Amino acid sequence: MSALNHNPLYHKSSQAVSPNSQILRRLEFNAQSYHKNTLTEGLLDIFESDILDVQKQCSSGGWDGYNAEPISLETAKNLILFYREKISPLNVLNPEISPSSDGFLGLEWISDYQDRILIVPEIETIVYASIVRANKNHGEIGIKDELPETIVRMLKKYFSPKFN
Amino acid sequence: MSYLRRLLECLKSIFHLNSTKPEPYESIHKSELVSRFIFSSSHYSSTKKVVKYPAFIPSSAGEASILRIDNLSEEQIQKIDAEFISGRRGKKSLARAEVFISDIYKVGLIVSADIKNTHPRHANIKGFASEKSFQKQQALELANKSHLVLYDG
Repeated sequence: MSALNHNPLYHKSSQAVSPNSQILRRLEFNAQSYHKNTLTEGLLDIFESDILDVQKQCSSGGWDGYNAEPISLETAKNLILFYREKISPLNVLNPEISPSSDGFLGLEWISDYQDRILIVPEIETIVYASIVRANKNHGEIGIKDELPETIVRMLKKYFSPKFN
Repeated sequence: MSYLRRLLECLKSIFHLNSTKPEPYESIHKSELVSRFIFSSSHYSSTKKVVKYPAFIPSSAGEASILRIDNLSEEQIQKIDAEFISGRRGKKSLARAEVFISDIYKVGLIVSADIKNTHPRHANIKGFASEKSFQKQQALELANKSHLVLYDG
């Protein structure tokens, strides 16, 4: 009910129609909300299962042909948690999952215009780097810190579903 | 006679027959194309047809191994790969990232020939930053400048 109370479309449509129509519109709104949530959850599940698949492929030493460290299941689970907490709320496109030879998994967004943003949550820190248009940026923050504003802004600007 | 000697010298220089000249692989030119071999499908995007950044992350020694592929046919590259690269690792390469040495220089890195190790065309990308985030940015740039060659099957 609270979702309906805050929905301007529901209020607008419920003002000048019969009680039966109001019920029908309410049912329609509930169905749409249910469908949207299920779809989002479904996509998230697929992405999370992709993370686990990459971890499996890279779970033994030398998986890259160049003496890479193995990637642990714990690293994959940490990435999933990080993605749910810090990335999913931004509503940006799913990134590529990029396993690195140092044993960590990164999230790499790659656009058709050669823009790249990389975020790698490690144990104590989050390492990030980006090349967007002519701007280059890189740095390290604490694992519990908020993502840098510039990175969030660029993700929303260049990797939102609307932009692409 | 002097005319014939000059002609012979000219032909030798064209066909690199002069034994007193240094080994041609020792000198590196920025117009050369080099290749980084990829053994993990997670190091490229098959849908976007691009190389991902970890393909260019250096080893713990700070080097990324490459092969100089100028003037080699696809068949010759794959032969060297089978014999000296995939063959020695016991792991088949799935793709390769090709990049010009001039683009490696633009990232602020250098290329050093390593003719005594594995193959005369072997070289290393060196000069990566020790700061982790900067090193990743360098790898991102190399990935951006490289071209993915994907092998079938």
